[in-house]
Amino acid sequence: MADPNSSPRPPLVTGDKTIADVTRDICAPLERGPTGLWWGALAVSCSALLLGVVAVGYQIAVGVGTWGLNKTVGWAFDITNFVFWVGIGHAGTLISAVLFLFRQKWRTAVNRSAEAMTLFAVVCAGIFPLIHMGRPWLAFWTLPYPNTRGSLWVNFKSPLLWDVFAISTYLLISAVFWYVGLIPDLATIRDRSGPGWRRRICSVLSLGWNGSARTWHRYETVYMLLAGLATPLVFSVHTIVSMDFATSVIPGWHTTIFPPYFVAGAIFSGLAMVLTLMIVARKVMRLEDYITHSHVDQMCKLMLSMGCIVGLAYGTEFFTAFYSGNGYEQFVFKNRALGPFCWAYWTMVTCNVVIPQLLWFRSVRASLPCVFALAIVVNIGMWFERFVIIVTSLHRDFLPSSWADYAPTSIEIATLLGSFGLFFSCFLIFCRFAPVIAMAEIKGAAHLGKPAAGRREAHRQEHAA
Amino acid sequence: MNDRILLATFAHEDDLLAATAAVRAAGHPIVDVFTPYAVHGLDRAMGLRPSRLTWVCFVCGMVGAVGMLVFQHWTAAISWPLNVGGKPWNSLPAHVPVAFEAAVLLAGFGSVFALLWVSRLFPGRQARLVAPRVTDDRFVLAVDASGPGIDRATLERVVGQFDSLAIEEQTPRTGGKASC
Amino acid sequence: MTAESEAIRVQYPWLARLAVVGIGIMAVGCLVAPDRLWPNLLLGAYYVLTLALGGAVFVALTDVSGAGWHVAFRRVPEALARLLPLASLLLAIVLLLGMGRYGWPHDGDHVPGTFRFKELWLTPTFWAARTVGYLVFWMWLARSITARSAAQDQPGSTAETAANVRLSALFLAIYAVTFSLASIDWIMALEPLWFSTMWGVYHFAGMFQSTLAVVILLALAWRQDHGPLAGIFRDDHLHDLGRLLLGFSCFWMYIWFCQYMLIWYSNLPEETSYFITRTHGPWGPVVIASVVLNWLLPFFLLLPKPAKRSAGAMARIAVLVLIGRWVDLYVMIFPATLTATDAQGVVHALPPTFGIWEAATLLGLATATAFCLSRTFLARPPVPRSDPFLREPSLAPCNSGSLP
Repeated sequence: MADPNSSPRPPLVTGDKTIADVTRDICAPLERGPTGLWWGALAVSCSALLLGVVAVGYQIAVGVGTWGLNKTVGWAFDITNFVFWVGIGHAGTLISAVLFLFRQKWRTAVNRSAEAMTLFAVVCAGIFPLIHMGRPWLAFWTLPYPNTRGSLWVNFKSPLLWDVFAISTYLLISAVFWYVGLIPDLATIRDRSGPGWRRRICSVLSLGWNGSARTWHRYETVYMLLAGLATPLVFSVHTIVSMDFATSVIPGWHTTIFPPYFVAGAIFSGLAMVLTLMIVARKVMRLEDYITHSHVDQMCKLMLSMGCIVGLAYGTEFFTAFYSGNGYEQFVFKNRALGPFCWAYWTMVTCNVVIPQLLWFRSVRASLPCVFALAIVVNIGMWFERFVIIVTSLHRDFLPSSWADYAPTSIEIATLLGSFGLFFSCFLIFCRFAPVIAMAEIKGAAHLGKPAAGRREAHRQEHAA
Repeated sequence: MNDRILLATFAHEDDLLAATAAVRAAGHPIVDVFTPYAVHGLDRAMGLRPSRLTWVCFVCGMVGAVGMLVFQHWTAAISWPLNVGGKPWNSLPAHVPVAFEAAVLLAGFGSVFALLWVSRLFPGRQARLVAPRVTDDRFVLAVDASGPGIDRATLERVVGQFDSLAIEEQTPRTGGKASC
Repeated sequence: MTAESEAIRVQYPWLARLAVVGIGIMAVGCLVAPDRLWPNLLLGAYYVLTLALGGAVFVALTDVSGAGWHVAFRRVPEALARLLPLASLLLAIVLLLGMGRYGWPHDGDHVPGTFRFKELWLTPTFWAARTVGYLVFWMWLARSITARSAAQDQPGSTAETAANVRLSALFLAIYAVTFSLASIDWIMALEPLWFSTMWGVYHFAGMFQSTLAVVILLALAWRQDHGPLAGIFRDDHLHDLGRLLLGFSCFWMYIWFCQYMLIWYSNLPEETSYFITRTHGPWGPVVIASVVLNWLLPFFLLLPKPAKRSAGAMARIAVLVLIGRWVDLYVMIFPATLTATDAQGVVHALPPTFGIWEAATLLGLATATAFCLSRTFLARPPVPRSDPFLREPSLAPCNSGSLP
């Protein structure tokens, strides 16, 4: 029999840390002053955000006519961006809720930042339908409230209305999940800080948390319940987004596999974004002992499996179009692969299905630059996936006389850039002001070794002093 | 009435768990335990009952789902029926997604607010810590020493074998009120 | 050990006798009512095959995800996976007997151009070759995985564990493609004009849900009365399996609802044909029964924590799910195969029936499967003694002691 204590799993936290080390290491980036790199990154993302604000202001003032849409391609860039951003958010919920239920302890390294990412991504997503309304100040019309017009109720049969409920529920539940997870850590920061604004803010936000085991006991129950709720929620959100398309009768949009296929694609793109951000953050914030190579490896495997599911869905759609015997279905798929937008289609296939196969190799997963590059490639591929689904299905419809082309205007591109600016600005601010790793969770999950006898004696003396 | 509380401090969860179980086995009332993170198995060591918050969650979820289904049916089929795409007034399959979202929303908020309520957590509440490092890396076991048969020496005998860092006496000023 | 397996051996003749009775009636049915028996045989053979395949998928999924919680009872899904050759043989015979019953070989009279692909795809020889290909692939890979897992019992062979992870990943990749196609070829092609892209996912959901139910039942059966898993298969394992069953019941419902709702919503005649046959008229209550058995009852019964830790409750729920799987397959297969042509030449499904042939097939195949499973399971040591994950104290969730 081998050593009974040896586990086939890599350690959760490397570098032989004590509990106090965890607190210190994770709070360190908050207590240090911001670096020049941080200011530089913030300046770049705020500039992008500013560009977006100007573009949005212009299109609200002038109208949606500033976009490149036409009678045939009535949905294009805005919905692509909406679906893209909602998808980015999904990995956060997957990591924080689904992996929690499956007891994947490695999630503790990234769950806090992935949840934050979810929040910011959903905010970015929400902007696009809001702008598309044309009169965003009347957005409250999408809510069912008693009114003087009848009451005329919202149309509950419309998938677009389901979206309103799905996205707002998702935003609210993600925010609550994130905040509940933050409470104990805010208390830790509160008790570490000297008098000042940080202590005052954390005091209010930590709600008087004092570490009582009775509270912990209930807290754990509620955390588990939220994870149990967020898991079907994350499925439902992208399912409902996919139904915006799948309930129609448009070939290329109406297909029954869309719900699970969109969910897998969303998680795929979200994981790519988590990897992109985490590979940078671990380096910049010196968290290499917490976000280890084995965490990156796990996420790569998850990303690979999601990529394969997405590839299977592409294949199923293509196969069924030809199997169906429906000429319009067959045309849409031929047109995707060979028509005027074939460059977008093949970009999507290459980025989402072909290149990620490199992740089968351990050496690729072990190289951070490779993983970073792959994650960027997947991000690009998943953006193109939505573009392909939306635009190629519309631009050549049933009547050849109404076929049309589509190209985005500079306003649309500026809005997309602006949403990236918003996302990264929010994320950078989050990194400065909140612990990017869930301290209370990682301390519990890592089961940090019992201090040696000599160290304990030192503890005791330190305590007595 | 807790007028004397003994606090035993530990540096590791294993010591705390063993000490908590020992104190409970010796029959001394445990006021509360303070830990920097959720220690697995502590609820059993302290003899806490499973939380009833799951019921709050279930009831809120059911109310959300059923309420939203009824509301959608009422708006779409009774209050102002609108023919959209020739769908029947009572389009149950189309009403499921929103009902589901309502269930999740209500269940999530219901259980979180119930947690804050029963744990007396609210903005502006002053955290009264038994020890300054209890949110960092210290574990504190608070034992009610007002009754007969327990004093510092007794407690020291019970928990001494578990590497306690210190045992101190403290007048009750912690927020560790025993409830639920 | 001898006394323990004695209890199991006692059940052998009992199971075998029932199986012989059932198979005997089936043999009579083959001669007396072949049209009625064939759908039953297809249902039964496909059911058994998907359980065996589900066992292989369970093992492969847990291997790939680096799970350690299931190691104590891993020989149970492995026993299922080792049933694959027998199940494949049964299904291959049934399909060979029934090739003429699929609508497509006769429908090729005048085919519009857009149906060219379907015509080629469903060419009988190509169809049969694919069937053999799927079955051989699954058998070969599942055999390699279970053989390596058995080889792990020899001390000092951790290389087998790592090799199995790679093999399992390969199996899952091939399985995902082949099973999607197989479900189309064997079941969807019964109604050759109908199609749905969700079909493969729908079949995966049903397969995995019923596999979990079987794993629960078998593990409980071999735990009681000092069986080989007594003291090894613990309540924590049961709890985890219960949570998975709850999750996959919901997943099945999700997939079922999405497929139904999207077809209902778009209301395209070429797609609604499947559901109009099944949700309107006498088949309606059967569809509702499948939803109740596969999701509604398991969902509400599995929500409370004590139910997931109670052997009695879990066994009952598992039986409900297995009946639900039968009803689900019944709704897929029977309206497509038991049809009548009316005076106007319109083909329509016969109303649901349950008589001697259905009962005999159910009895014969269920008991024969149970009999074979017991033998397969007891042929190997019941616990993978030297799996590296067996040493893990684990079973402690991330940070909670109060899993609902």
